[in-house]
Amino acid sequence: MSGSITVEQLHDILEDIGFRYITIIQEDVTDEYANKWGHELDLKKYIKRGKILAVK
Amino acid sequence: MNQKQEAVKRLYREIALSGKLYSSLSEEENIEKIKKLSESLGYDPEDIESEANMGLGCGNPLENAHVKAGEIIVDLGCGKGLDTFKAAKIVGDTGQSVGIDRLFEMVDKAKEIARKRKFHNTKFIQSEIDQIDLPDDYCDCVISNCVINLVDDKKKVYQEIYRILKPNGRVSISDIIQYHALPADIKDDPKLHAT
Repeated sequence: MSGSITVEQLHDILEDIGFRYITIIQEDVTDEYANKWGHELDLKKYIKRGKILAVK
Repeated sequence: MNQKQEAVKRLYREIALSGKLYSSLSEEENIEKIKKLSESLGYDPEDIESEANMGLGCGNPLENAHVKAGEIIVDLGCGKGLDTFKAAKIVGDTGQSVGIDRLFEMVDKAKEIARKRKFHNTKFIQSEIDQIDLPDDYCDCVISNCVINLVDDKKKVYQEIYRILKPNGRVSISDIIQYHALPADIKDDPKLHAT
């Protein structure tokens, strides 16, 4: 999780490689996920979950 | 292998072998917690009850994958195969659903479930996801659930995905995205990297 990258960095990677129709939808992580993996951090302040869609 | 990648392997190996996502809780408490986690991600009751469900995802990649009968789907970081089996039901006998995981322990459990539940259209391969043991132009769609963030070189992973996809093939991936930078001491903690 702490190795995650920003949506801009991810978009650039996909574009550089040649993917087309790139869509990255960001949503809050669920409460259940934040509670499980938060290690006492308020995770929702730092990360989101992304739906990453693209075509070769 | 660096310290962070060792931490990733150690954590997921422990979960594969113990079957417990919450190590301090009982088996029953684990089942209940994993159910709630999976419900929150939009999985249906049949998936939630599956022995392949470990509650490790952060989304539901098949939701937007538009998988069709006869297609070949590759699931990167498949664990015990929750999404691989879900895809296998959709592609049917004329298609194939392939699960890839770096851990032998995960692949072994997934193969056992496939045998037991007679999923003849699945294949499980132990392989790193930044060096995938599959040929070029192999599949119609790549899915993955909350795994790529764990890998050091994300570009290498996406290059591999591009390589194994057929022309016009697609990806539908759920993964963690950084929204605000984590505090440095937290970011460098191998435990936080692994989760």
